[in-house]
Amino acid sequence: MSEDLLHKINLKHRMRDPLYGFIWLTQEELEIIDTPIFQRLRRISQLALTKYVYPSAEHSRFVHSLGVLQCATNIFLELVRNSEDLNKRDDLDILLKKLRFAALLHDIGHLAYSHASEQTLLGDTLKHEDVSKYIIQNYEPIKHVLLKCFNDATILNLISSLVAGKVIKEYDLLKKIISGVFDADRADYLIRDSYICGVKYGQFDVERFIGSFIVKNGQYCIRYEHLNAVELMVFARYQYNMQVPFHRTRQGYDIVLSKFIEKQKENIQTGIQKQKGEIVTIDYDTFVKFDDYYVFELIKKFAGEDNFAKILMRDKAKLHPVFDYTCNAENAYYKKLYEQFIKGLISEGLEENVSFFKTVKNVKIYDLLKISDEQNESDYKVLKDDKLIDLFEMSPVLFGNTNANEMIIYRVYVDDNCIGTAKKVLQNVMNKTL
Amino acid sequence: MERLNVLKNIITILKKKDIKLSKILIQKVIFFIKELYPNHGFGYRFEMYKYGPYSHELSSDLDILKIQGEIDIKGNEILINNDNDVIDNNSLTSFVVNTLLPLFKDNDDFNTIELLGTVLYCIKALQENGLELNKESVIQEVKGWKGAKYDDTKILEAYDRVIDLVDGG
Repeated sequence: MSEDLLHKINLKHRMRDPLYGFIWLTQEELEIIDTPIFQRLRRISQLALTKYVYPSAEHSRFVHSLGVLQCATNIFLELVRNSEDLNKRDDLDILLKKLRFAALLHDIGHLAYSHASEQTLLGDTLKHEDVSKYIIQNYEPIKHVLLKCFNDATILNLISSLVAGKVIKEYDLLKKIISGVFDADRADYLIRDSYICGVKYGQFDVERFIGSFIVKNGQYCIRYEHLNAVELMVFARYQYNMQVPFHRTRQGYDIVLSKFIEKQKENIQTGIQKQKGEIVTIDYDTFVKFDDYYVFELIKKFAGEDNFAKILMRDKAKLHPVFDYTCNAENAYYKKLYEQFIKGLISEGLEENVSFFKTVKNVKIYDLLKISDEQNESDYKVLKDDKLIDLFEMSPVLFGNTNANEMIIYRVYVDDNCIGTAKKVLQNVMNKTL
Repeated sequence: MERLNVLKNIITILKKKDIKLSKILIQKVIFFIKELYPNHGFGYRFEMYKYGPYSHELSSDLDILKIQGEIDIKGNEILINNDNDVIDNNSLTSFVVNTLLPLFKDNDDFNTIELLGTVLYCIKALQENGLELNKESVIQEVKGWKGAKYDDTKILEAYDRVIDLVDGG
């Protein structure tokens, strides 16, 4: 069945990949990859300034997008193999083609340095997914390929809604593979980022994971025999989050990068025109040039005069995470300690966003499961002996962690000049607060 | 953050009107605002989950308000801690008071709130995907998501309550 399906979609080209060996592509997929807007993803790093922690983290959203295409294909083929409900369908090749286009295009709207610039440049209402959606529906070279391939105008709506939007029930299955809790996006970035960073956090049994799902009575379910592989992916994601995107050094540079972008907002040309919280138009020539290099050119330009730019250039040695506590969010002691420390720094004449930077982030393990918590039940079922059972009944480990208290990360960073003062303030505050 | 202030203000409005604010109600009220009120200021992504459209990001923002001491979450109910005044000099406030409160009648139970949210999601999904929008197509979609949980009459009742609010509906 898998061979037949792959034969039907007519894979003609291949690219090397360190995780999958080869990633095979159709002619139409290659045409999309060859557009300037897709090539731009080569210049958007997957992990922003994580390379200041893990030096090899230089990979791009381009290679991740190809990886998601391959991973989504692998999950889909396994799903078909496992599911009697599914493998009788005669349109599986069409479904697979749609899935692969959505996977390939899922990150097409990411801004330079991704999350560090998103809120400043797009505002509270818009996200990069909205940019992706707009591009899929309006960028002529992509539209042309999709319309040629499917000969149906609704394909643009479907692919964009799989990436960011509302799907009709018929396509819920594809949506779950693209942007569900246990999706190809997460599976690829966990194994790719951990492999390239050289960390063990994020690794899991991906071969078993991709075969962990089955369609039963129209629902996307977990196979009981594979439950441990699914649990392992959730915990790998937790460990990965703590050690990669929330790593204290990366988080420090994220704050400084966001502040820099905020300060230079008027000098930054994204090409995205907004009005009343919606995208009105995108100047694609400008957008294609708006990449990580564009932002770093600005950093270099202002490095002589701007404190943020100096830090990002590493001219000013290091940011020191002088206060770094991850604790139970309900713990009043660390909250008080953090607040007193900030007051102490200010009373010593240190200025926020000049001499010190602060951040508070709440982390919940159930964020990783992304469940609806309206009734404290899981959105997923496990298939055991032909019965569908709530995931939490079958996995006490996931249930326990879902109901665990949330954690909170308090961090304060200072530059080289202030490290001595900050340590003294912290000591005083700790003595008093105890 | 502006988004959190707007969220807090909406919770305050609902509390001042003596609405019992369950987690599902705040999820669906914000979903209706996001879909029906232009320039709402929320970037939340809603997806179809077990009890209709749900935003994990909204849930996270409620947790932030809890950490800030602005609200408390007891079981499935959201309680506001401070006796804040409603900032009611904007049209969002009047949209909530004049349009959404009458829609979510205070005697609506969990299932009705779920159904109203699900119906709006289905209407919007049909529109976004360029598919035909009518009573039949919405009934089919709702049944696709919810199975036999709601009969045609219930779905139509919810449809009639929601459709007038939707552009092109």
